[in-house]
Parts: sequence; structure tokens; C-alpha cells
Amino acid sequence: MSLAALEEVSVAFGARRILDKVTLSVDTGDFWTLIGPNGAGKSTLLGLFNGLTRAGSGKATYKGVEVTPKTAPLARREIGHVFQAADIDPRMPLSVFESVLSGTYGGLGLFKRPGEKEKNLARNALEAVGLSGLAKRPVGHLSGGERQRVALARALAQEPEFLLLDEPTASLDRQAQREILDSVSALQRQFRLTVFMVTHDLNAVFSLARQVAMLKEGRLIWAGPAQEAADAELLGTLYNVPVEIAECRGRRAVFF
Amino acid sequence: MESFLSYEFLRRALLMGVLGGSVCGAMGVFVVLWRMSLVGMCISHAAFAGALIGLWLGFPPLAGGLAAGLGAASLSGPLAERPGFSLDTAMGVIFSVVMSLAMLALGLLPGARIEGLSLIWGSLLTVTTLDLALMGAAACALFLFIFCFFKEIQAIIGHSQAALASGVPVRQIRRACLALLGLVVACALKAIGGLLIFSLIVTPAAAALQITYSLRLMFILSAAFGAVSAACGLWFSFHFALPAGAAIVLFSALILIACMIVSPKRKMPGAC
Repeated sequence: MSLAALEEVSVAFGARRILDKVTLSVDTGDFWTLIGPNGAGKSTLLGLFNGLTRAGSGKATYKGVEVTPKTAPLARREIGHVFQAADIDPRMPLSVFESVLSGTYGGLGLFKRPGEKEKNLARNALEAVGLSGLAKRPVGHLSGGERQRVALARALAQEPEFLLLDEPTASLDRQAQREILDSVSALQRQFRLTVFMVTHDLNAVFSLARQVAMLKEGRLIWAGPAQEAADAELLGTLYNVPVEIAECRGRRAVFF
Repeated sequence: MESFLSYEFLRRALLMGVLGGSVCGAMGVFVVLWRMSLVGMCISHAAFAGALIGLWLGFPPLAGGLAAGLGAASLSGPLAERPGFSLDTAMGVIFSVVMSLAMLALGLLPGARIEGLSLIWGSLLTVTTLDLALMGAAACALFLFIFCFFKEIQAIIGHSQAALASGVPVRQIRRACLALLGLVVACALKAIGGLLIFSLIVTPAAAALQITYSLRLMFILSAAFGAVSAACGLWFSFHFALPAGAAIVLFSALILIACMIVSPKRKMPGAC
């Protein structure tokens, strides 16, 4: 069953067309990755599902309802969104626990204080990403990888059905990348989440995702099962560089 | 202290200073943590220009300040949200324009321009009961806003995009905050002065940020630093015949320096 879908969606900022008639359907329980060169429109596409990006023409739907400025707030309560790691002022007056708890505030609504239910959600989310021990630490004191896990926990505290991940491993070292991707994979299985992840890490694509979409210059040039996406010619066309695929112990790796 | 408080006008000035200082201090937390110093500076100086233009046109300065402050707040909110828009440049231009308008209005004022000049330097000693009542109303509005929307404010400070994506009404909260900034500045303008008010907004919050990792405590400390700066500045001004606004702002700067010296955050990389 389709949880979220894009139907002939185009987006333009001024005269510049960012997305061009993109059609895509995400089923419940799917794990999608979206790949493509810089400036292809990947983050713009991701924002269509929760209304952070407004469709110029065509429509984005969530649970069969068109995502509009009026319906987006309701959709956002069920859709978690993890952004790229950003620098945080080390003096920021916010603890890790408070940061994760803030994920519940949208669903809680205005004029209501977080109660035991919300605090338990935040504690469980922190435990799920392995950061329970850092709950009281100022969020600005964490490493890049830990901050991304806090961002993941904040999205989980929302109890989302659909999780959007915008390059969650960008600018992290190899170990932190592996930890984030392992967390995402485990959480997807544990909470039966539907996941849509933008990434540049092609090796993560083939080890994690079931479905792959390829975006180039705002056009969806290919979408299908991850195993079929590991095609040197297809990836070479996507990135405009020669690509080779190697297999090692049953895993596929991409070489540029 | 006894002689200081024996005068009715000084008691009123002290109350206005404490109220204005605490309100400006609490307001500064938004300005410092949301990194909107330039936007805040433009709004406060627009209110200053509006008050002077109001005076020139024969309106009460408060009405002119309020109209210009709220107008600038309602303009800068949408400007700040426009993707790809150079807010820095726009605010730089707007700041120059509103300051020119302020100086123009001051130049066009007939007579000795005493009231106009007092809007620049502030005049705590001429505060009326109406000024106090308006400042009290602005203080109630701001503290009620912080109390009612504390969790939304906290979420936006943590990560505004993530807050927006999770259903927090980020734009509405930000715009309400900018409107409150316009209101606070317009109400405190007469007492503190147009040139100094912005430093009383930013400095106590910058001092509070040096010594706490709790947002709740930062609001309380910042308001307290603003109030203490106002009370001490006024006392010094009375005893040493100094301009009250300048003494208040210099006292808040002393508090900032003291907080930087004792700050547990001062040895952290990237801290300043």
C-alpha cells in the first residue's frame, strides 16, 4: 500500500527549475535511497513529503491526502525528518535530553507541557540510538556522529511512521558513518519504519536499501530495486564519470 | 540609598529601569540565540526613528515608535525567511535608512529639541505613570509569551528546521517574537534611549549565555542582569551626575566581563 507519493511534481525557484515532473510511490515498510549529483534536487524532493517544499505543479500525497500548507502540519506529526549534521554552538543552553524531547512538541500541540509519556518517548529514543548515558550533556559538547544520533533520536521521539533522512552521514568520519547507518538499519527493522534516505554513500545504498531512485538535473532518471541499481552504466550516466562495480563476500562496492 | 529613594521621580525611574532592564534582558535571549542581532538592531532603531518622526509630526513618540517598530518587525520576518535572500545586506541598508530618517526628523524638529534629544540618550527621570503602565503591560506580554511557548522556543533554538519539520509553528513564533521586540523597544525607548537600548537587549543575554547551559535559567539570569544593570546604573547616575542610559549600559557591560571571567565555558574550543 502506498504511504506517500509524488505525482508529476515540478518545483521551481524563480526561473530555475529544480524538479521536473517527478513521479514516485513509497509503500509502507519500504527502505528507499535517493542518489544523484550535487544540485540534482534531492533535498528539495525530500521536503515534498512533509510540505517543507511546496509543489509548483503536480501533487505530493501522504496517506492519500494531498500535502498542502493546510494539511502539512498533520503530516509532519507522523513524518520524522533528520537533516544534515550542522555545527552547534558549544555554549548552546540545551541538553541532549531536551533536544530529543523537543521531537515530541509538534505532536503535543500548543499550550501543553511535556508529561511522563513524552519523557518516556525521549528516553526510549535515546536508548534506541545508544546515547542514554549522555542525556544530561549539553548538546553542543557532542561529536558530529553523536549529534547525528541525537537528531535521529529526536525524529524517533516523534513516533514517526515515515522517516526522512537528508544525507545523515555527510561530513562524518568512517566510524561515525557506519554507526549512523547501522542505527538506521536496526531502527527501521525494530520500529517497522518506512524510510526515505538521501545519500552520497553508494555502498550504503546497496547494503541497506530495498529501493533506489536516481535524480539528475531535477529529473527522476531511474527507480527500482537496489540490486538492479548496481549497474556501472546506469551509475556512470547518473554521475557523468566512469564507474566500476566490484563484489566482495557477497557485497557490492562502487569504484569511481 | 535612603536619599536616592526619597524622591518620587527617582522611585518611578528605578521601577521603570528595573522593568525595562528585565524585559530588554529577557528579549535579548531570542536575539542572541536566534542570531538575529542585525534584525534586532534594525527593529530597535526603526522604533527610534518612528518615535522621532512621530514627535516631528505632532504625534506621541510612543505611537510613532510602536508603529515603526511593529512595521519593521513585520517586514523583517518574511525577509529573513526568503531563501537565497541576503539578509545581512538588506539589514545593513535598512539600518542606514532608518538612522538617516531619525537624524532627519531630529533636524526638522523646531525649537530646543529637548524631547527629541531625550529619545536618543534616554530620560529615566521624566518617566510618567502612563510610561510605567505601558512598560508593565509590555513586560506582562513578553513574560506570558515566554511562559506559554517555552517548549516551542526551546525546539526552535535547538534546530529550527527540525522543529518546523515536526509540526512546531516556527514562523508564527518567530514573527510574534519580532513583534514583541518592536513593542518592547517602543515602550522602553523614552527611558533608555534609542542609541543605547539595543546594547541593553544584547549584553545581559550574552552575559547569561556565558554561565549556564539551561535555557530556563538563561531567561531568568538575563532578565536579572538587565534589572540589576538598570538599578546600579541609575544609582551611579544619581550620585555621580552621569547620563543614566550610558551608566546602565556600561554596568551591563561590566556584568558581561565578569561573567566571561568566571564562565565555565571560556576554555571550550570556539567559545568567545
